[in-house]
Amino acid sequence: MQINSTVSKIYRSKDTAVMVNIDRTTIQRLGFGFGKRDDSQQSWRRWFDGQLENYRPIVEQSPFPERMQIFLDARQTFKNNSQISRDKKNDFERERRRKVHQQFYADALLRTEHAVHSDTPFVERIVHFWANHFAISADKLIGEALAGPFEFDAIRPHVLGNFSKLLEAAVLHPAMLIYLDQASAVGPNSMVAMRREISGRRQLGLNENLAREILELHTVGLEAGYTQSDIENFARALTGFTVKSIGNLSAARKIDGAPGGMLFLDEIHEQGQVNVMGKRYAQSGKSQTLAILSDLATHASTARTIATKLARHFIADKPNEQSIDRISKAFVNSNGQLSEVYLAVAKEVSKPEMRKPKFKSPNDWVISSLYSIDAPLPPARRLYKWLKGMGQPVWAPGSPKGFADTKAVWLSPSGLLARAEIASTIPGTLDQLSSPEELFAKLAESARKDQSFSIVSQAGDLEQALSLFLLTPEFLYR
Amino acid sequence: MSWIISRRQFALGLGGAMLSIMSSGATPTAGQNIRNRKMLFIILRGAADGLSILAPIGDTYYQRARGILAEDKQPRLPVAGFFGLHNAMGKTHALYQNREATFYPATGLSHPVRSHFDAQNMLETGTQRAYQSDSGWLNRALSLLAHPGEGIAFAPTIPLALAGSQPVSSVILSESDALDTDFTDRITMLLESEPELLQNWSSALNISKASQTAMDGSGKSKSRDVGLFIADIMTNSVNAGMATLELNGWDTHSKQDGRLDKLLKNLDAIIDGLNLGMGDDWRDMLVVVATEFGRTVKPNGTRGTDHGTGSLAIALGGNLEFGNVACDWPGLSPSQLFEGRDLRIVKPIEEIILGLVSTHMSLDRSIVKKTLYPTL
Repeated sequence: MQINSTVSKIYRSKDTAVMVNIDRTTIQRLGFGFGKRDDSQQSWRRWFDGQLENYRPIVEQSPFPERMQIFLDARQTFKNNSQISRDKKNDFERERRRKVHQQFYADALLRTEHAVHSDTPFVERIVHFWANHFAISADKLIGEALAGPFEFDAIRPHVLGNFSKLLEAAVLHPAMLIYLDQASAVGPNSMVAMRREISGRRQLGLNENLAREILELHTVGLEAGYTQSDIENFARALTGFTVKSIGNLSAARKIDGAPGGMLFLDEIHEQGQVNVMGKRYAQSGKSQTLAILSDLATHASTARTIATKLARHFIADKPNEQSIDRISKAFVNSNGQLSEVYLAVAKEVSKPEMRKPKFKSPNDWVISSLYSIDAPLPPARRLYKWLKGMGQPVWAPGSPKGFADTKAVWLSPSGLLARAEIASTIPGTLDQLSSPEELFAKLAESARKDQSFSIVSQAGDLEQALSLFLLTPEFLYR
Repeated sequence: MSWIISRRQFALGLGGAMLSIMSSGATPTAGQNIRNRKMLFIILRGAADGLSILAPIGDTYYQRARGILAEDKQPRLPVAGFFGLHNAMGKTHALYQNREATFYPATGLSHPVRSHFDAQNMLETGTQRAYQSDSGWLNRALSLLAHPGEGIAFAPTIPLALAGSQPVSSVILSESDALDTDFTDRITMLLESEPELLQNWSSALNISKASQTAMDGSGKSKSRDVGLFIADIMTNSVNAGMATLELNGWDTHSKQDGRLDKLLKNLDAIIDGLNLGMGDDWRDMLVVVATEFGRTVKPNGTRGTDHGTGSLAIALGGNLEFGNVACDWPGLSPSQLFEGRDLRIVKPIEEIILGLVSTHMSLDRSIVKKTLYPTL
């Protein structure tokens, strides 16, 4: 009797250990690791459902109008004003730039803070995922002014809804219209273009940039086989969407509304039907673009593009085709209902045979570090410098493709060195230091964990132990 | 051997048959040892407008075809009696006059596309279809060096052009203090069980020692300092063979002139710093500047240009004696344009790089081709 009971007890505890381990790994893979609010004894499914239920889409009142105002302010004040001296104008301009920079860093800190303090780390990762999918790059001052508001307004509220709404919100947001040059494009046969031709002024015309990147990056992808003429036709349909008070379109200045808002102006829209990817769109005005976007959003190639990217983000650098198929199917069957798509992703992540170790991106590594050890956020500029030094400055990937998502890109000598430098400064910001035992309890089980633990626990002091913990292979990977 | 192309010769070629000029563009300087040959590949990401950098001002269609883009604020610098180099490229122009630089107009990929991402992939892997290879041609070129050399990315991450099985490192200008060795030794212990992490970490430690010495200056990464920093790392500190530098922002769909002016000033200052900093080692150096494709000949509706085809490459360095600009100029008249909108490519960028690398490293072209462009 005695013996039997011991055996069953061992069995039971081993069972529990295995079960908890699977859940913990899945949770660790979907979120930022274990923070003080993560219940490591919960099943991954309950944890996951809680993520979708508790997410707060709106974090504050839209900052867009205020940011736009900072950007436009000085420009309006002294444009064409000969009363103001050149020096004064230069001072004003410097001050304006300083304000925009400062606000930009503050916005980058704000999005990071939301992630670090979040009750729903999975959805915060999803927000960052979509902000990168619909990347705008703050390479110019206007980009800096609008990058934060773009994520807060166009991405955050739509990440748990339908993909078609997210697509529409992202690509027609003023920040995107400006970044991919749509805001100043004009239909070559539109009323405004005609008027200008008659009066002999400089010709305005199309810009293919946004049309091309919606097809190539945001939806169907190159493999869908669209042509240069599909791009040009889509660019024609897109004319009309512009932004108030940006550029020299007098037509856009006359309309009422807050500066920086999105407008559709029939006067610059290229009238007439267009063919895009074998389908004819004869709608007038903005409904033409909305119809094209709606078809693109539910296209089978779009489902595949999105499924592949999500799989690469959460499952493996080279995800299994079966995983991609299942996620893609969830996208098609639900008509792009994103919560269904995420559930399919989470199910794949929960299968040990499907997931491979993922080397954390710099952004992920910084957030999961601060999240796991409950460290205070660094000052805005320092945070930005950290991420820039590792090659992932927030909202500035340098191209509409966004940042890459594989180890081949993020594991580099200078990148590792930068992580070591950052890790060495974090303990100094903490009031209370955890012991190595407490730190390692935050990690899911792994084969190497004991070895790393013994090295970290022999550190010279608790500060060094904490720095080393953030550099263990188990923490660098998820 | 060099070729000076007169304006008349170019003028003759226009409108009729394409003018043909025979020249490789570069010949090796005789009698130098090949032990320490080095190379830097500068990638202009975003598709730089070759026609604005080196404008074919001698083409009778130039003004008509380019419209507002032909209205320069500053006078252009003469090249080969036919082209005008952008005024921001003064230092590069001086090197050109000294036969230490040359230009390759109307170049592009052998299989051109208008997607940034496919084109950059092909430019970096050396394949003729995108996403066929995980290694960059510069990484493979390391195996051709006479000395054991390392690849160095001057960036926080390693670009595809330099990625692959040969050892590579990365370095950036850093203002932070060196980490103490007690800490770095413990990190080494932690990463020992993971070969890939360990390899990157060891490489980081080696190069961080080197960059600490290179950083004696102001610590600010002004353009010229970036060039000086690269020069320092490439000459004194490590066994550098092939290196990369990526410059972003060339996707000028709108307000092109002001943006190009800044971008080109930066490029020119980096080249200047590099040339100054390398001193005598400039003789072993080859710098190739390239971009993924060119831009439309006609300006678009927003004072910029959309994705096009033919662009420009630049080669610099003290090893090769560069001749004058060598090119079958394809012309800008409507009938001469590719698909009615773009500058036609007359010589693929792969061929240009192949020629330059073989001559620079004094290697047989067929051997270099097998390594760099096996499917060309």
